[in-house]
Amino acid sequence: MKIRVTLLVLSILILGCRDEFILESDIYDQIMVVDGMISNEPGPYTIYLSQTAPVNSDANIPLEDYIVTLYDNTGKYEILSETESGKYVTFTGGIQGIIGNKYSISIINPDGVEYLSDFQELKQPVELESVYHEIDTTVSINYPYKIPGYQFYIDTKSSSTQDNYFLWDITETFEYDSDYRFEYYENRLGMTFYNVPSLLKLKTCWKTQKVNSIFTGNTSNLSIPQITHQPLHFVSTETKKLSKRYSILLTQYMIGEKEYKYWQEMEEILSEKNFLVATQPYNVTGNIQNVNNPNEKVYGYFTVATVSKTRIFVDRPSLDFYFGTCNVLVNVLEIVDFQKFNDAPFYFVEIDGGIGLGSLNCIDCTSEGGILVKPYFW
Amino acid sequence: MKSIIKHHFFFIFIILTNSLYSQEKDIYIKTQNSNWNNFSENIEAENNVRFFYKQNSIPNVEIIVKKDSVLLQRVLKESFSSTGIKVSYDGKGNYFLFKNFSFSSDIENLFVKNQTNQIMHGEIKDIDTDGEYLKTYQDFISESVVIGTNGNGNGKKIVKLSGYVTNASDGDIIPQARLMINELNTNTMSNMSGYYEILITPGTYTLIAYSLGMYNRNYKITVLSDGKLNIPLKTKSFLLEEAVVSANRNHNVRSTSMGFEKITAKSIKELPVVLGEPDIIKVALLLPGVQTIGEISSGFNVRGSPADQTMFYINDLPIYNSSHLFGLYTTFSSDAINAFEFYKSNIPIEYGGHLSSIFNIEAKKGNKENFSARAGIGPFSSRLLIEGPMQRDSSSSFLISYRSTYSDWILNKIDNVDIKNSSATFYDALMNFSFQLNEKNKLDLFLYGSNDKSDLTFGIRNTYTNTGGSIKWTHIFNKKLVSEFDIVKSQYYYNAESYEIIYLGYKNSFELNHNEAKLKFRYFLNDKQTINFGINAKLYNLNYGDLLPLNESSSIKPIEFESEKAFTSSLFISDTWDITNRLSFEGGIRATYYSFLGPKTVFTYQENTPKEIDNITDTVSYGKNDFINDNIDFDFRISGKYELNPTFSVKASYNSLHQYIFMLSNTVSVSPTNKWKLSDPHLDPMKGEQYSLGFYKNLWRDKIETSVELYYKLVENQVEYKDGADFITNQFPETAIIQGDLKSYGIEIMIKKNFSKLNGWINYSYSKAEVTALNPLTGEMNNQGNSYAANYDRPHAVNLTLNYKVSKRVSLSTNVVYSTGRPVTYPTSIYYQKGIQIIGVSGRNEYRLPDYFRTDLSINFEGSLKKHKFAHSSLSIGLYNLTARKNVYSIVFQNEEGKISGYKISILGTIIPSINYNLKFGNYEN
Repeated sequence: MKIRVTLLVLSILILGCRDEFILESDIYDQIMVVDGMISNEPGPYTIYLSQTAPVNSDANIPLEDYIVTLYDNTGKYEILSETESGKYVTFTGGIQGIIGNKYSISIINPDGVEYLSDFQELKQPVELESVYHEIDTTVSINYPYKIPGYQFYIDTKSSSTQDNYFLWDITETFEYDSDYRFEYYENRLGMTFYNVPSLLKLKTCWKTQKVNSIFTGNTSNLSIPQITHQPLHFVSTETKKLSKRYSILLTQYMIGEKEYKYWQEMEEILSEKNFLVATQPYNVTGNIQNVNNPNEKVYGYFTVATVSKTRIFVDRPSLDFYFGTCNVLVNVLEIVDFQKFNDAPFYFVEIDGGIGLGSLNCIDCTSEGGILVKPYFW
Repeated sequence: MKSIIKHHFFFIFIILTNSLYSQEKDIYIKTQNSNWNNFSENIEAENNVRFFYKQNSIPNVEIIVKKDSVLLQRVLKESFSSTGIKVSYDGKGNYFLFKNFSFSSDIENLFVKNQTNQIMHGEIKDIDTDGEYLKTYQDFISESVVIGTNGNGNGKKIVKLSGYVTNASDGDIIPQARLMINELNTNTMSNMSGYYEILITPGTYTLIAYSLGMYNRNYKITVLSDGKLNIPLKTKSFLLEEAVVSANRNHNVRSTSMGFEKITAKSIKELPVVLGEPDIIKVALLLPGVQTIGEISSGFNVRGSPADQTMFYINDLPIYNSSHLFGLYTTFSSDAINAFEFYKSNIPIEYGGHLSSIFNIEAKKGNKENFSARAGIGPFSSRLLIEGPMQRDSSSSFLISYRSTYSDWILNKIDNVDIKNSSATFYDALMNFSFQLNEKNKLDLFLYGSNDKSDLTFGIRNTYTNTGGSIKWTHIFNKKLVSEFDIVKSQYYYNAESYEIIYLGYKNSFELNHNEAKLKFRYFLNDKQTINFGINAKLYNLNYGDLLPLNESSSIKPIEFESEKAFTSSLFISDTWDITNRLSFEGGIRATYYSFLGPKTVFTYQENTPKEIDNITDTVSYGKNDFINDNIDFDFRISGKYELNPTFSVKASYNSLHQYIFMLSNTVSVSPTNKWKLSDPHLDPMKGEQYSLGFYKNLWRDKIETSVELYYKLVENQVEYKDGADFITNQFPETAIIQGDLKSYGIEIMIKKNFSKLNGWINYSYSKAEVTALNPLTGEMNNQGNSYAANYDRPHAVNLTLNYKVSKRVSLSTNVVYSTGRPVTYPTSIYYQKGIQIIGVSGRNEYRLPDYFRTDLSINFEGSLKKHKFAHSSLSIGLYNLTARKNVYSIVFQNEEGKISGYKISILGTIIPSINYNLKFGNYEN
């Protein structure tokens, strides 16, 4: 989010501009993708095999009928079973991730071509010290002024080893209300209904989603192997996220140096400030190689990571909020007009102490993607 | 139209006066004391003479004649000497009184067709004598000179005419002035000491002397025997000027140079300006074969070469960072630049060490006669220049120029806290002192500095600086041998402070020191051959400052970087030989010794394995000034020219060069925070070769110059960077480098029109630059070993530049620029990792950005054109990117809402108006 500030400053300074364009490409490279992990958490562990999709699609093209085998350095191995197409899973009582052991996978495609990963060690965890937030501001693309919000940070404890590589992955959950409180609705025959339980319960939702960035950090270049005040994501008051209660589940992966570099490069390639320096993008190779043809491109990682998790909750800050709300008619003439030309039912909501005509979306929080079930940890 | 009519008047008037007053006689004046009006009336009445001058242009001076029988001419000269009015006499009773301009004439020869229109005398008398008008007619007015004596040398078949070409105003010698004898159609150049020799049979000839920025001078010479003719040329008083390209009219066809341009900036007012700042060096971007990555990239890519293969010298001082504000401006204030020479094909033998091209910028010299100052005010920056003599005898001068931005002030006006806190400032300054010690010795002292500071809330604060000085001693041994001795010290420094993430805050600085001594000679063997030779020595000192924590809150572990040092020395010699009038040849050789010096720790990598830290087998420590490794390399220059006829020539050349210092850059665009690196035991010097062939044709009495040049270039050991190379924390840069091959070739077509109300050029170039980075022994490669387009590869480019003089005080100029978009690496697939969408990309530089197109326009208004007034002002209004096309500078990709989005970034993607006000105090010539 900070990066946006940069762009705005520069655009004003050198009168540049930034226009979105549709990613299109006449070439579509079909490449095998590995996405899987073994950790110190109890299994089962999952490996996803898929093929790259064209740039303008969301398609996930699974690779079926592969033989995926998980090895450890003690000689144990396990063949994973394909529970869904492209999803290969270990058995519940099968191989477990043990700190200090090394793990590798082998993948054999239906044509008999074998791919292997290096053996990687499951490292000693570095404990999380705390995840916390501070009030900060960002310049929004939509408004020419600053929008306040919460910037999240992470601190770890000091590690016993110098070189530690971290990946932080964040899942956020927040409680929010529909834009307006339901008052009554009017049906086709002009009858009004108050206190309708099925509509009243649409007021409060919980939404859980992934934060679309992976954050990286390492201690190899630090004088004390401890992460302090590492910025994570920024949550602005342009959304409802902080409006009632907000929580994040932070997953810390301790990974190897090579994988860390993989993610760091990805971060750089997908960074907006890259426009100025223009780092040459390239395909960051993962840790899977064709045994017979090392030049074959294979994307993705078989991650061997020590995982720790932490959850924090944040209450509504005393800040002004800037999120938009649905449209409500308050002028009587407009309401009459609207009812003349539209079909019932008509939903009336409470607005600024009075009554206005809204839509179902105004009273239904699920229209914003949340669910009505309070999560177990809430 | 108005001016054309006036011209006719002038012709007619001369013809008429010739017929009216054809009797030749000298007029003697008696003692008297009267004012000019009475005096002239009386003299005209009493004698059969006429005075011609512009009404009101002659002050009513007092004419005092103290004794009898004084020649009228002398009386006039003395009376007007203090007013700047020059008196000319045609020997036939006609006296011409012009401001700052005189001629001695042999007018009748010029106007063969004798027309006899009857024009009233009074009308003719009121002729216009402003500079612009007269400039046009200089060519036609010749002086008669008799050379030698009748008695001595008669009977000799060949006699020698020799002399010096000098600047009439300051007596400076003019090298490379061209002397043409019309009747024989021969050309002679003055040498570097301004001296010329012409071998000729006795007779009568028309001799025309030309030099860039000077009025031509015509002589009707009658050569009787060996003799001397010193030719003083007058500087053009550029009341209305344009940047002039090329040394002189026949240069295109006649010289042996290829891929050479000389851009002179008597004034750069008519160049389109960016953000209110005219930039002469950027004119180079309108020449064929010169490209940049984009608006905000430093450096130029010349004929398919990376920016570090082009070097900028200002008064012999190498400048390692030539950009302000990420490349928006160059670090040279155009006000202080006299001219620059640009070599992209035949690089003169005295230059070595940069493979692609040389910009040799010549700073202005101070005026030796008068003090003068000029100021320029633009929206983002202002400039001030002061010049003048240092001693009374006009033997020395100084010039000081300073330019500074106030962009900070503008940023502060913007009502946004983040923007207020950001800053970007720069300044540059130069001082040029010139001392004419005596006739044979000249000393020049030059000092230069530029500085940039930026903090654009990127979380990085940068400072970068060039500083340096040069001393040049020119000594003329005799008319055949001239020497030049230079001592140069240049430093490039930058400091970066990263504060974006507090615990990772660091600071790091870099310093490049270039110390050089050069002694070169020019020996004029005879009028056919010139030999250049010399020796130079350079000492490079590169200090990679340690990476240190920025402050107490930072927990960054300091990283130590060793400094680097190298000594290099070259011996060079070249010969320019005009074998016949039509065939010329130039050959040169340069031997360079390069030595990489300690102290240094050098790693040994296991043979035939990639240079990676894991493959280090041994470590050798060298002490201070120990020789670590050395090279001896030979560079060659061969070129030839053949003139099929006086307007058409063919030229061919071969060049080879070696480069020992290069830029460490892992980015597409060149940033001032890139460090430089010396060739070392792991990194061989880059070797470049260029073959070129050119055809040159002048049309329409040399008013139109055309050329077609083809080139083919090969660079061995081209330094390329591995994917994801990091040079900030990497202590072993060799691990991030692959040495590959760079191949480039192309064709450049240029059509240029000089000397008229409408002038300019259009050029087209086709060029390709391909890189192959593959080391088969170690298996290190980029792009899977396949060759790829260089970052700056733009195959098609068209540039059009036009200047149009609407009137004497208003001129218009425009640029139209087109080029293929630069290559980019583009997403060709998507995939997921840990639920995050990720892009897979094409081969390196397999795609291209949209084409680049831009039109600029500028209008220049001059203040009144009076030559002598307290101050002269001009106003230029510029419109950059008239079509407001959003030229894509780069594309970026971002993960938003779980999906990758692409954004096109345009810089200066709108019409940018600017206004610039220039003021000059003490309105002397130049």
